[in-house]
Amino acid sequence: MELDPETEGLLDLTNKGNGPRSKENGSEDDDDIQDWSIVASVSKRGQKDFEPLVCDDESQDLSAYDSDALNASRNMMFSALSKSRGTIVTLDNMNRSTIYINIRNTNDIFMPKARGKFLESMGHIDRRIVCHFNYEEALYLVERGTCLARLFDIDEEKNAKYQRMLPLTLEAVYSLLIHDQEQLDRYLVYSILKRNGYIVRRHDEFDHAISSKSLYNNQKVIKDYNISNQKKITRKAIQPHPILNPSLWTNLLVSFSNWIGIPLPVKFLGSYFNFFTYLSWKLRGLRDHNNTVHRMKKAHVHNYYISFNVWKPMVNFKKKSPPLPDFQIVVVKAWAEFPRYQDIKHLIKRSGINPENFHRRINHHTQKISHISSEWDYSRGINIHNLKYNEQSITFAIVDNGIVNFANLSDCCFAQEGACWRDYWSFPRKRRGKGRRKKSDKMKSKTTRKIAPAKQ
Amino acid sequence: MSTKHSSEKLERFTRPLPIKVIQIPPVYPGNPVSWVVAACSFIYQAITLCNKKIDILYDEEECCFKVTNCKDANYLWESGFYGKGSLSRSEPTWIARAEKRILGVNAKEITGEEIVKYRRQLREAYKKDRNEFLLRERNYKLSGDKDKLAELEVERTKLSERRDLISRARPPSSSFNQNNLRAEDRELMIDGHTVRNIEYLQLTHCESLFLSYIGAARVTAGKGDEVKVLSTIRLLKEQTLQFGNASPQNDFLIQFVVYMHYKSLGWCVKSGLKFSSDYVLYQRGPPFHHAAFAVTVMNNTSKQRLKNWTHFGSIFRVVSAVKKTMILCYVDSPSKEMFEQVWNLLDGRDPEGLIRLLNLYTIQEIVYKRWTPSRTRV
Repeated sequence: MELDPETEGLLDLTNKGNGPRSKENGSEDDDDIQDWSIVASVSKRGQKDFEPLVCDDESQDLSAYDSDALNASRNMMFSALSKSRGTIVTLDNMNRSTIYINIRNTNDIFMPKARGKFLESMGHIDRRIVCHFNYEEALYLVERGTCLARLFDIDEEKNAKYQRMLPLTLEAVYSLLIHDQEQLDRYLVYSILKRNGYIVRRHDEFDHAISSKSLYNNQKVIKDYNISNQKKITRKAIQPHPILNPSLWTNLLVSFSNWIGIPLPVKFLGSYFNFFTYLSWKLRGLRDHNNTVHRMKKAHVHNYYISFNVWKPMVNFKKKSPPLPDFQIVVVKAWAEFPRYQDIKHLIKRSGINPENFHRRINHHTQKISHISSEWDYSRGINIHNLKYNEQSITFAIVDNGIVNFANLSDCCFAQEGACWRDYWSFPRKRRGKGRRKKSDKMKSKTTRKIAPAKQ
Repeated sequence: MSTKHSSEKLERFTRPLPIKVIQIPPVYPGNPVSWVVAACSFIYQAITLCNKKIDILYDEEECCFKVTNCKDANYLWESGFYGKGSLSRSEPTWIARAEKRILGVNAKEITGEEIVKYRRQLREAYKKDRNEFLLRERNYKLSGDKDKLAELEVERTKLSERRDLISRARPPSSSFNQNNLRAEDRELMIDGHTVRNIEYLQLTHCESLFLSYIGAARVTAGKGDEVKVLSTIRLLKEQTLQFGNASPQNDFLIQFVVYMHYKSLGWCVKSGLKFSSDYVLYQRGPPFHHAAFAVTVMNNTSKQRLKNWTHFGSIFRVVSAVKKTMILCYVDSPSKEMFEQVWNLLDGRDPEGLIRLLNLYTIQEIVYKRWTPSRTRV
């Protein structure tokens, strides 16, 4: 059953705890397939659907067109609700879909004899086959209507009393599980991502503890990943090594002009590219990131923690040995100060995300990030793709009073790509058909191709 | 990426800097004639090429750098797209437009201003037609005429196609009309058949300092007999002091560090004020491609708090609407002692002091992108 994510979310809000059976709980006994098309149309209406054709000054009566549109809009919700809904928790399987919250310690949330599709990506099962949930997981399951929640007490007598009570309402579960703003924000982010179909797990830093090992571990994880996939996407290849050295001719010219004490005769440099490399070589201090290292240590404050690992929807997800996450989420408040570079950099160092997510062009022969060659792309100096996308990135979830926005910050180094001016731009180019190289040109030998732009 | 102009026009722009460099035609190892040609061309260019410095006038009252010589202004624009015409959108084209309008000179070249004007007219006409269309649609809806409503769908697609075509439309060569003359136009005329050029090229502080440093320009200040030449270092000091104390956190210095960083990598750096950022970066120049990046400068060492997430989210809204990538450029400034050590040693005769000062700073970049979870699932 294909579900519109927005519709699912909407149903969660409208139906609270008794919402329809969600797809996680799709066991065999659910026979009637729900018709979602009407519900989907509810979420898609916009302002213009209510705009009447008649203005006040003309007449007060509604035209037939308007009253039809109005009636349809008015009844949209009712007609959506009037359809029979899929069942939630079936009564005979109560045990399998009841989450117990320990009244003495609300962090202890568990489900004995847990069964269900949702367990593939949620919860943590111990030796006695009791499944323990984190608060956001339990809350999400209850809110979706996949599970019911009940209180639990170690004391037998009290526990029996709790079990005779009705299941907890959604409000009660919220107030039991969420104690502060941060928890609520994190739950919001979690539920949005889950409703969008992602697999979301807590990151190690969820409890605000950054282990000193995490830096090392991440390097190792990526290494393992590379070995297992027989790919060498090492971090070393991506590390910025910006300083391009000026050419031998430039060096000779510079030392010669210094020796006789005249300013550099620029016109003898031979090309503008040489001039730019010389200039950027002189400004190498600007890109010498080593001299900020000591500043980084001083300035570093533990203000940011990676909360969630996020995977794109996948089959065969294993909780115990998950693959590298596709995204990692840091939850922040919208009115909080924007992070400094050292904070972002430290987060990126701690993160370890799947490098294949970012389609950087990596040359499989040299194992290096490919650089644009003039042979096949005349108009571009450098590979802009390398600047825009980088696997060394971290995603922030910005929460502003319940509205969540996501921003992705990734590392970038312009100096690494070198000077973007190409000297063949200086020579007027002979016009070709639509300016594109034909296939036959590619067949020509390499040398002719190299000099081709200059010849014209 | 497509070029925006015809290629004949683009052949003007063959230099990234207002400096002439000897460029030798390609040498083929198997072809001795090409060696001779290259050698001759080298000797010829070595003798004939001379780099004349462009005069930039620093107007102290207006705090503005001007290039008043029309030839120099065009030269600066053609070699690296520096500055902005004071009466034009960017390229100084006022004189060409004025000659077309007043004298009826039939110039082939279409200026950017004319294209913009023409497209605005087209959009205006399109909007008029669209409103008329909407009115008709409404009438059909009111009268319940379903067949006519269905017919309108064809017209709707036609209209939207027309809208898409506007952004590629080019004005037809306009005919000269004597009646378009205004009374004040007479004051622009010199002896009846020439137009006086009243436009000048404005340069930003960073551009002037950069041109002065690479030896392409000479900055002068003052009027009449008191004309003085400002050396690179003197210009640097004066500009810095205009933006506050000589401290590592000086706004001008931080802006200039970033300008110099991208400039030295060969980018064409222009102001990003229109897109609520500090700079926009063109790979080759405005006539070739749209700018791919918008740079926001962040002072990483300042004691002041940075702006909040909402602020940068709003900048991103603007930048993403024009399909640019937002770059956050973090600048680390040196300690006060280190800065003063270099600052006090600055000597007017040694422009390399500028480089020593800039090398105290560090630049690091971050790309800010929005992530929409519902779009990246697959």
